[in-house]
Amino acid sequence: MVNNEKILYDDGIHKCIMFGFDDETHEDSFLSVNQYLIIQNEHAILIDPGSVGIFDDLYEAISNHIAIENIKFIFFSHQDPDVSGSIAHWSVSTNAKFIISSIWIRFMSHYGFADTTRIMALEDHGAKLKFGNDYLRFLPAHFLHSPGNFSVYDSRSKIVFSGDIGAAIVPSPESYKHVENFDQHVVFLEAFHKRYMSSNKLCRAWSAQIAKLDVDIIAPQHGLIFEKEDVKLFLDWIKEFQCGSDYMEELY
Amino acid sequence: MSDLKKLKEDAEGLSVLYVEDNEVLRKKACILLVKFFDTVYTAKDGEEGLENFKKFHPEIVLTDIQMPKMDGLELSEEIRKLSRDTKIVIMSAFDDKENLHRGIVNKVSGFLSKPVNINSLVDLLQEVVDEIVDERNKKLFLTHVENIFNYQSTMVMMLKGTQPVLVNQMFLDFFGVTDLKDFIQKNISLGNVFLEHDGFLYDKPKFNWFHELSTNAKKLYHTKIKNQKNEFRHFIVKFQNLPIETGYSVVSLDDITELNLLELFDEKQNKLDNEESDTNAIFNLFKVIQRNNATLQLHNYYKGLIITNDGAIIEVKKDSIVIKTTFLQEKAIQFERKSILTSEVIPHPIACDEIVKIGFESQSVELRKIHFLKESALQRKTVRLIPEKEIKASIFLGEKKFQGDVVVEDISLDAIRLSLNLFPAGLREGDRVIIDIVLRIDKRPVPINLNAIFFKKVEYRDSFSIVLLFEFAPRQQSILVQYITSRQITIIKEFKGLQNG
Repeated sequence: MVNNEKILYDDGIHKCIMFGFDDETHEDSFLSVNQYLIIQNEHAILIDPGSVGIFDDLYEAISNHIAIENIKFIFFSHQDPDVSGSIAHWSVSTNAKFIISSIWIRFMSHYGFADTTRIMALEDHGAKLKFGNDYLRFLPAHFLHSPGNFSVYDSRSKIVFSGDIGAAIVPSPESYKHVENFDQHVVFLEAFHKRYMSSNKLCRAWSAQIAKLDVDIIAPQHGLIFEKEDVKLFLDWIKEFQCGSDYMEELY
Repeated sequence: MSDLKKLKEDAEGLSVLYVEDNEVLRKKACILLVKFFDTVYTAKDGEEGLENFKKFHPEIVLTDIQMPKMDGLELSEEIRKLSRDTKIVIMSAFDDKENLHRGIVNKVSGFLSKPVNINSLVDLLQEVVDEIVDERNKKLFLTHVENIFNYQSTMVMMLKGTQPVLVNQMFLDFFGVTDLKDFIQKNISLGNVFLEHDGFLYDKPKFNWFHELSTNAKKLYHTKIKNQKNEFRHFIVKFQNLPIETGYSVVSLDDITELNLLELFDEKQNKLDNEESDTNAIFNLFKVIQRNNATLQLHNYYKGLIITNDGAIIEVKKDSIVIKTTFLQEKAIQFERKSILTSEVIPHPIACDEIVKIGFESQSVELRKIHFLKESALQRKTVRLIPEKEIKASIFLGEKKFQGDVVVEDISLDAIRLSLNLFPAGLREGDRVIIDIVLRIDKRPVPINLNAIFFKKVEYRDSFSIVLLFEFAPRQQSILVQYITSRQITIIKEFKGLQNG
């Protein structure tokens, strides 16, 4: 990806940017990592900013788009270090409120963050947040894979930021990180989802929930994004996908 | 066959104490009990059982009869003296009348004959848990009803879903209507009578009062309503779901006009000057919070790290307040010797500058010297931490190094506060200085050389405290972010250690 970033949506007022900073220590694993920023006028929300290792680069890249103090919210889909490991760094360098599942709050102190007054805790059913003239919806995605996990829907850009759902173990492409041929991409999806996602029942519930929304892009935290007709192909695929406890006999 | 899943669901949040002198039986029972109960305590005899009961207050006690030191019946008698509500189940190989009689006198909830059959144990536990849940629901409902009727200024509306179904006489009198139908005809919805006021609950475009209230049950809101004589009245509004019937809820409106608090919420009238009337207002607000069973938040700082937890008001005394809060918060209060309180119904943070008493066992703290805070650390926009003692700093004014003693008091990403024994001659607000700091990151010294602006000074009897605002060169800020983050982790660890001491 040129300059480690790609504008996914821009209508002059509202903008969604995809960054692709990988923690160098894990580069050989081919699990490319995506971070997202939504800007509307002078307000921004940062989505899954990742580990401490990429903090400096991401900070600088964001500064090219908006002043850091204008990041009003930082959302963590779940508690993993490649998602929320840098919470302490962001707490020091912004005034942002942190949005995360209520079940992970107490664990954030292990990342060096303990100021609960700055956390907007998400209860299991999620929440709707007014963002500029539009809204963001935090949608339950529990056990896919984390027990306290959320996806975000941006009503203006019609993008679902899906966290680990839709993630694929693929080498980070030089250019635009998007799926070009869904059928060929399925093999990369399968490898990740079969072991990381907990059951088809949950995949089905998530897919049904997203299918009700008007969605143009599904943007996962790892791998490639799904656009246009690939959105439906992905939702149909995950609806039928067997994973986790569906393969219990292989695990126990 | 007993419904194990149901027992586990119903027993959520309950704890049990198992008293048995036979170690093998105790371990076996413990393995079974943890399947249903969140917390299981054990004891090897009656004496230890009583000690654990006093310490942990479990809702259920299962005890053997024949044990060394104190037997199970004596233990039941002692527990009964301390708590009328605890459920006691006695297990015994004996089947004699005397034991049965002593058990009945002590209102024991059940007997199990030994060897204990798992099915009978589970059945009895289900009965006991059902009783507890039932009693809790009844108590909750009665407290609610009691609260509503104890305060005559409270107006009440009961709803089924979003539809009002019942209002009390106070409500009808206030609006001068004959019945609920009459009120709905005149006003359509309760939201239509809530008037616009800064920070209060009222309908706005894209903001529905009922949605706000019902999604934040038990949270307190202020609102302003005109009565039938066209006078403004100030209310605290609360929404509660009824515990006994799903879909039913109650909106209560507590008239607090007589407390004269409206002006506290008017931002144009910056009124934090009249100390006496403010203190009265604070104590009145505490009473409102207490009788609505609402929570407030306690905030403390440990070396700059903020510690925040909820608290419930137990008692409002003449010049102090007793609050039940967490052990963690109590430790932070013990360290700082004071606390800051906030609540959604209080317009400004409140300082409590003195501790009367900390009760770690009762998880309560009594605080006094209470007043509004014009400025508080809660308004800080940056994380400001007290560094480790080893950190060194030197100031340069032009080419010249300041020769006095320099101690770093605190540091943030924007500024540094230094304590000086001398004040540098000729230094004026707005002057540029250079500051050399040797930070410690991962136990290694990391020197950093920054431009800064002298912002302000505070003079003490034998020292000066000065604040310098940083001006960063590229990449310098990143070193400081790294330092503050790693310092924060150290302070968190240190504070966690404090809890064990």
